[in-house]
Amino acid sequence: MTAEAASIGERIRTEIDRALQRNIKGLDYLSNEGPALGVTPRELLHRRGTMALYRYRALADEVYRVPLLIVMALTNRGYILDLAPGQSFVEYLLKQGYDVFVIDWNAPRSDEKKLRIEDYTLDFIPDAVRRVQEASGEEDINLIGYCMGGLLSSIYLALHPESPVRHFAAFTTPIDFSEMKLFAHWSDKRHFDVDRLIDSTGNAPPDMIFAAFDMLRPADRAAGTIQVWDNMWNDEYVKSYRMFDRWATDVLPLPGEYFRQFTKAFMWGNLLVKDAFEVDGRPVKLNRIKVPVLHAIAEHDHIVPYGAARALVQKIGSKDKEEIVLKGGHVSLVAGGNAIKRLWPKLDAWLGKRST
Amino acid sequence: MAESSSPDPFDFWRDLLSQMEKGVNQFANQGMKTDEFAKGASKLMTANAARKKITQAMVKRYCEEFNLPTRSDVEAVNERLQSLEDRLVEIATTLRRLADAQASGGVATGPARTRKPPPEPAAEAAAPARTGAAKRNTKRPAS
Repeated sequence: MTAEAASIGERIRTEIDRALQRNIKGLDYLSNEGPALGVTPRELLHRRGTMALYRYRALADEVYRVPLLIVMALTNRGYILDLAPGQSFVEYLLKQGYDVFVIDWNAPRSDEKKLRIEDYTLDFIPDAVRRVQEASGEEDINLIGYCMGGLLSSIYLALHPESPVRHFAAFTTPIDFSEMKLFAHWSDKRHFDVDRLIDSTGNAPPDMIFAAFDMLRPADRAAGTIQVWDNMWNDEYVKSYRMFDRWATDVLPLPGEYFRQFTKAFMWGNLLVKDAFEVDGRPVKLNRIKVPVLHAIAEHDHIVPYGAARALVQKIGSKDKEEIVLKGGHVSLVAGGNAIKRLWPKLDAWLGKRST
Repeated sequence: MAESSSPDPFDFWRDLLSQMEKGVNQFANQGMKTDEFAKGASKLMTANAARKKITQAMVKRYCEEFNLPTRSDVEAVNERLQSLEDRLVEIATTLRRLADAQASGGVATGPARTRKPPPEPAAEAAAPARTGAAKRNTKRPAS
């Protein structure tokens, strides 16, 4: 038998073995809910309507002086930052000695449909900052914002130059909305009647938000299903797929007025990048942000492309500012194997020395 | 064992799947960039929302007719419960803090806030992130 024939034989044997495994594990896949997510021990410090502020239990004997507050995006659940043990960003931070607080968002109730950007940047975030100060006994705070959480944090910082935030790390934060080409096109005011939509729905429905994200790459869902079947024999692959898939489909509704304001101010007017955005009559000038800033952007981000994110570092007034573009996508930048190798150690190296 | 020079059919179809995924995404994105698509999608979305609103109004009328709680009634109860729960969380947190303060005699509890970053490993820790993606990762200077 030639080496080539032996190799083909070996390959076929492997595939038959995998086919058997697929059938056995496929049943388990269908009957099992998948891994538990967001299991790092934490305490609910405060909850008010859509806002929930958590403090995670320290995993180090000695922590940094400055507590760390993370602001999650409004459209998705915060457990993307706390996937399974060993793959949890929060767990990593705790082990590195950070005192971690997270603002996670609940689905807005129907009476919260009136919430606007004002409520997040003049009320919820400042309230959480005060509570972190109280709970930690420290005046200074470091802040991280992911995606829209980064946008809201940036607006908060621009409106509160006197805030106790000492350092700010933003992950994939959009500022120039004209660069989010497909979203901008779909929400073009010539076709998209946001008033009519929100007047009839109250809050922006999660299925609409999910569909908008999904349509950016319409083949991904079908291809992902085929790939998970192909890799059903591989427990790690299946576990990872299920974690990310569950999170991606667990989309939250957005408060109706927030969505209306967001569409008009950012998608139609692109006001933030033009320094023309106002919150409660107060101009939001990003150059008023003077604290040291790190902005991590994903090279293959199809939701917030580089063009939409780069304006943050360009526009802020900080002298100490750094932008890094890391390999990965919008989600794999912060979670999963890619993040463990790239973003997490980079952030720790930047933030550790700024947390004493 | 010598490397086989013949193409692997299983890898071939996996590559094909990956290429098809890219191709379909690109093709669909082209179509979705047109005004016709944006117009159609907006119309569909608004029509769906309007249809939902009408259905909800009809269901509400039926529920009222049969003396059943409507969705908004259930939501109102849920909101009251939620706000009570919020208050309970607030009270529990305050009590816990008071108990901690009493137990420790006013001395701060929890780990000491004295951690210092390890000087050398901190700089090295970032290295794999850069070198691991040296080809495509760029560190752009702030402008």
